[in-house]
Amino acid sequence: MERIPVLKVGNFLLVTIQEELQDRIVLNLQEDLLARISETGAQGVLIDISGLEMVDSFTGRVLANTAGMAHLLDAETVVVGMRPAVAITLVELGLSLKGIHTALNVDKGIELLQSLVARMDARSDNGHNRSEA
Amino acid sequence: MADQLTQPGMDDSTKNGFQADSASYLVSIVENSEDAIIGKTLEGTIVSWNAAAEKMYGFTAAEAKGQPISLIVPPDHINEIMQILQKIGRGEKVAHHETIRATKDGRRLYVSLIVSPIKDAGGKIIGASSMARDITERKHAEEVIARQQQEILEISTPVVQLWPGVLALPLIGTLDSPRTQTVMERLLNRIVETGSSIAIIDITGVPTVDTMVAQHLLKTIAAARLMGTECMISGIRPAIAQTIIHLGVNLSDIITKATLADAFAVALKRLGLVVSHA
Repeated sequence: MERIPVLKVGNFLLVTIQEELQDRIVLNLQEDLLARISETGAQGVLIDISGLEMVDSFTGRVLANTAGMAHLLDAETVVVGMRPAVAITLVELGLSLKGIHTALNVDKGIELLQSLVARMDARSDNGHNRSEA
Repeated sequence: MADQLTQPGMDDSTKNGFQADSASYLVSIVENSEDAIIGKTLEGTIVSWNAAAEKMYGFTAAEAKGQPISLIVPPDHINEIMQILQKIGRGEKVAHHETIRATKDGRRLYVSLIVSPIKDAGGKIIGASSMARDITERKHAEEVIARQQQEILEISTPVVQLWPGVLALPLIGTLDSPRTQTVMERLLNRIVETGSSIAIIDITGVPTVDTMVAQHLLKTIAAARLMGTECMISGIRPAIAQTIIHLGVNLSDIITKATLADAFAVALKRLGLVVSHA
């Protein structure tokens, strides 16, 4: 079964999706990603979809759900590089992925993740529980 | 009919050997018509061909008569002519059918056709007569208008860069759905090209906003957000603010600013830039 590699960069995980996604592969990705987050204690996940020319409603929903699950595992998710045509399709499908953070490219995505993580740390310092704190 | 024609008043013409339903009178009408009038059998063989047809298609009557009608029909329209002849065979008429015909020198003409059945004395359908009017000029004019509309569409929806990372879309004039669609696509493409993380949609020059337009704007903003760019709306007029609320359009998730300048100030702040006097 085909799997998409999940790379660890600093305390973030990086996933680059290069080809059209089959439902099975998306679900595998979700599983691998969540496993890696808990293994590594990563604080952020970057999903680069600039290679995708099409995203269907299933993939859109799974990505949104994955972001929600990652959040429960204390990691923020940023989707980067969505193409205009893909964005229009998702909006037309009524999937505006409200819970997901987005950025134009990987650079901006990393900046965004860093500021999100800083904000989270600030909040946990104010009394919220955080395991490694 | 003959009785009526010999009534007083018509006498002069009948005395001159001129009768309104005489064959020569009808031939004269056909020959002097500006429309190409062609008679053909139900199998499609040309049996009559008037002067206008000679002029329009370039074949003389002698050249055309006896030939199949495919003489003036481009190969990709042959099926259409067979369908028309079948319709005529069933006694139906074809009116104002716009299609393409070919001339002797290979030009393609746009024509508007009226085809009707020819019946013999017993009322049996024996052929079809078609009147064709050359509408090539009108078609070309329509194409020019369509192209110009497209050009106006492009001219009137510029996306400008205010600062590295900040785009502005000053909308002017009434927004209809096709225009908003163009705007949407253009903005999203420019976002990718310039890598801008903030886009300001200024609607100072827009006189009215309806539900469809508001929905399109919201969709554009949602799509831009998915790509990682934040959109602001500036220059909402009081009347438009009223319409938006009355229509029940929810803009509460979107930053709205009074003027383009205010929105630009917010954009600079987001980028961590400060404007100071030198």
